[in-house]
Amino acid sequence: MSTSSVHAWLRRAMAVVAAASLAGCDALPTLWPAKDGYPYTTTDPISDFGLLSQHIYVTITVVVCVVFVLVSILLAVTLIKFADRGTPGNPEQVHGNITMEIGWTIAPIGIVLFLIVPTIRTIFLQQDAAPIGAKDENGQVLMGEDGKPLRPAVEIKVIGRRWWWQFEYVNEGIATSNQFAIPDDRPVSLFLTSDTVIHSFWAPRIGGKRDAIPGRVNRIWFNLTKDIAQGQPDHIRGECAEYCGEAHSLMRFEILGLDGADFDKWVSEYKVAPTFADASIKQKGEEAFSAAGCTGCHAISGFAGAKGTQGPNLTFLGDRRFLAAGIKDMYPNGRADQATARAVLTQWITDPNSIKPGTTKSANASRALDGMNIPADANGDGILQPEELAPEKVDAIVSYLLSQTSSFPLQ
Amino acid sequence: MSTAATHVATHAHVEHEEETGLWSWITTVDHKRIGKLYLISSLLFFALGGLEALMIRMQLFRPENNFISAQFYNEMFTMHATTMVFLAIMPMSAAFFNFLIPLQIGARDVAFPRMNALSFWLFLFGGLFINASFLFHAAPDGGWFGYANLTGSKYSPGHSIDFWMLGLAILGNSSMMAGFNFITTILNLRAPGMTLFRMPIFTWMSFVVQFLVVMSFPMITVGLILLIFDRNYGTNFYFPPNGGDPLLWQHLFWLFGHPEVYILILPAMGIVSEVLPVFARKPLFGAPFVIFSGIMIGFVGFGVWSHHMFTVGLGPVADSAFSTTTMLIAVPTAVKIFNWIFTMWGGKISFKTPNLFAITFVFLFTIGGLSGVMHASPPIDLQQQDSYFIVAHFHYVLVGGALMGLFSGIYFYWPKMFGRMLNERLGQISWALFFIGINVTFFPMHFLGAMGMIRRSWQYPAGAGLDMYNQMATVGSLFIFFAVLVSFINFARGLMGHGELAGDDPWDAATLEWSIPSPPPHYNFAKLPTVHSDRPFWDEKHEGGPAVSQAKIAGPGPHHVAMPPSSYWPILVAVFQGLVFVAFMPGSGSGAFNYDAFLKQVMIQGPVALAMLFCILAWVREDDTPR
Repeated sequence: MSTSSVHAWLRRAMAVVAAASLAGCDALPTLWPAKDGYPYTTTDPISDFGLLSQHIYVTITVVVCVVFVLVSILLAVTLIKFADRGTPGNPEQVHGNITMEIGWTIAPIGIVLFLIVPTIRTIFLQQDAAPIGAKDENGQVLMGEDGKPLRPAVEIKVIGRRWWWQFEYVNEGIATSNQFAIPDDRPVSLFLTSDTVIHSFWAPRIGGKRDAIPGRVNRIWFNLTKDIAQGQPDHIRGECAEYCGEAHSLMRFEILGLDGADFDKWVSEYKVAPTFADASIKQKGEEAFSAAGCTGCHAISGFAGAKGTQGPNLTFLGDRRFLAAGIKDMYPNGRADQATARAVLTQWITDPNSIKPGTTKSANASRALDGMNIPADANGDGILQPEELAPEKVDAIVSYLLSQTSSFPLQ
Repeated sequence: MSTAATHVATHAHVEHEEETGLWSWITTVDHKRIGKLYLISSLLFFALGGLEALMIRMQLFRPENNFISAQFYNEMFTMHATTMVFLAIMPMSAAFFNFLIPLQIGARDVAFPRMNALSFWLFLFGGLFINASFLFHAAPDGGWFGYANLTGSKYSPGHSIDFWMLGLAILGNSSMMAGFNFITTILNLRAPGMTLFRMPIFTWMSFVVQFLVVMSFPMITVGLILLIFDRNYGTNFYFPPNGGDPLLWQHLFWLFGHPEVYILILPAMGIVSEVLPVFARKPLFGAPFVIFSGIMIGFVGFGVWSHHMFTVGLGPVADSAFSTTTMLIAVPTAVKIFNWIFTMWGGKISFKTPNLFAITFVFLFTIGGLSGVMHASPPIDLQQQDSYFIVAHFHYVLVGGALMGLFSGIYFYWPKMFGRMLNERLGQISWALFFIGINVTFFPMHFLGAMGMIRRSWQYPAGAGLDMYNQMATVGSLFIFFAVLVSFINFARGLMGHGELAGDDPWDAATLEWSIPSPPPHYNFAKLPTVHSDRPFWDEKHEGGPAVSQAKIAGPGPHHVAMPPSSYWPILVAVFQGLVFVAFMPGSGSGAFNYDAFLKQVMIQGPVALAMLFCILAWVREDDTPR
């Protein structure tokens, strides 16, 4: 075979691989498109971080599928062609063939080289230094007249707890739990850590996971590539991917993907305390909240007595759609159905283990968490009986928490 | 004990039948009996691990299911993995190491017969000890990988992690001892003329595995000792607030854990390399390449451990390096696959049960290997790590690969072990159920992973599109259940004496173990054969080569062969050595050095250690000259 015909064959082969990759590119995301029914798809990312993974995901998927088909055909042909049909005598005793051995040693080395180069490139791109702000088309950070980035990166400290998430906006001074918002017009930079055991932060639609490890800080950053319309927030779900104990599978979180302007508004609302149409709700709620000992662990902005950091920050709880770290949908029938939300929150307060096992210190001491219990739970059974916390007190707390809404409740 | 001479005189006609009865099995040092003990006990543990898997699948049949509690679910997946890895696949491989290696190299026993018995008893006690946790409502719940600092006393008070960590330490002891034993056996006890490259491939792969065992188990032993210190005496190796680092455990664990994967798969590869040529009636294609690729897998296997840790943030340089080494594993693996296929190419393939399982190994292992190439790439791994995609991948490798290889080995070597054929029809039914079950169970898990379903999840959300594939997987697991059931019925029938007599060489095979009676006499070879090729028995039968079969070179019995006497010291040492570990229990889980608990520990440990020492001294002084 002449050199030019080898080249021609190579070109043709490359064209086939490229076409297959492109076909794969189109086909793969549509297998499990992100929609309400498939909230966790890994094949339809909406961030540059996720798309970097996606490109190589598609390439390698195509390559391994092609290899699999070829090997399977070879195996099938062998089994059919050389099945024993009762002919006498032994087959020719072939011991091997050096050329073939060299061939099938070099072929996989070639494939590995073909895959490892883009892999390493992507590794370095994904773990590059985080940008300090939004960039223009040429990749230059947009600078304002004051010499600072026009739209600086949003930096969020993510802390894994057992079994919920704390999110702290480094520059904005906002803290929230289990649900947080990100803008679509500037980079988002996450600092992942834990003060309990190892967790792993994974929002599959945004991209790959990173572990939140006690004593260490890991970082991922990304830009949303999806253009989110004003007033139409995107709902991105995530979960803890590293086994972290009894309720590991019930440790999820919600991300509110917001248009840039909406995000600024969200920040400005979250920076100040929630307002109440009816001051008595706040007053009664704070009283009950305080009396039941909730303030020891929970913080609520605008309630001077509630500064605890052991439990989730409950400010703007009315914005959240899910309770117990993304587990229990409070509004399965939409926001209009407040009764269901009240019932769910009441159940969560009075009998949390029924929604999420292991939430409170159980009767079995060996399963106890680090000092977590309900102060008002006098008999220590993990359930707040009416005599331990009066139903009207629970009602006051429920009203108080659910009334705290901003302009961006999760639909 | 009677001398060999009187033994022969009184039992001349059934000369190869040794003593029978429970006591003879407890005190046996015969590698074939120990191999059978390993086989039966590993099959029982395998059944237990399978039931645990069924519990998992039942729970996941529906979204937000409450069939079992979260706590029990976590215990189930922890014990399923621990059981399958340490108590089923490894000892099932050990059954073949024990039974086959001396037969394949033309030896009368392993190098250290009593130590071999000690390995088995330690394994059995270790396995029983871990499972005894169920009796105390303290089943391990930290995952088979036992990530620190979740396993520390703060987050795992009580004794559940103690059962796991001390049991694993006992099992590691057993494996390391067996490793040294087999290395010595293979290096020193080969028959005349059996050069290294005339050794059967199974022995070769086992040889590689023993090196992996003796080099990787010390890592986890160190990790476990640090954990024992953390849990018992308040040290802080893994406890971050006081300066420890949980990643230390991950490195130590995976430095062991990844070679462990090859410890699980290489013996099966060895078995398949024996079975495919016999049923294709050809020699293994490119045998030296199969051997060297096995060695290569062993070597590179020590340089890939951090691919289990791509998500922990080791930095781009480490990620790139480990990604490259991991992908390179695909090269020797591909070499093996092609050599197996071309072993069959041009042959006369008969589809007997052992071969069905062996061919299935080649096919399913290819799938598992290729999906492994995918998450060798860290950008993809970030999306697949800890998702069901990984579960799909390693079950294709370990069930489709290792287990199919081992079942192939059971069906292939059963006639040699027990002298009777297994039922071919039942074997084929079991194989078909396995083939359907494995694919229906584990293939949909790729999709679940791609949809973002996390591993170790007690519940998955309703309305997330995960229901159908989970239901498929559960249905598939029932097929596997029945596959195992049919095979177990087959084995039970075999043990009860059903099945036709096998004769010395039922498959017309090529290697030494088929040149002696089935089951072999306790001395294996009345006269050690002289080996002239890598297929000595085939050459004798088909190529006019020099005789190696006992019928020709030793003639009919009785033969006076002196063998090492049985001994009860191994089981006693095993009991006391196990108890030395168990004695760490009282003070464990307190999280700080506790003088009373320490005193309690020493009060138990001291006498037990002394008793062990006494048994070891008695062992040393015991007269074990062959007689």
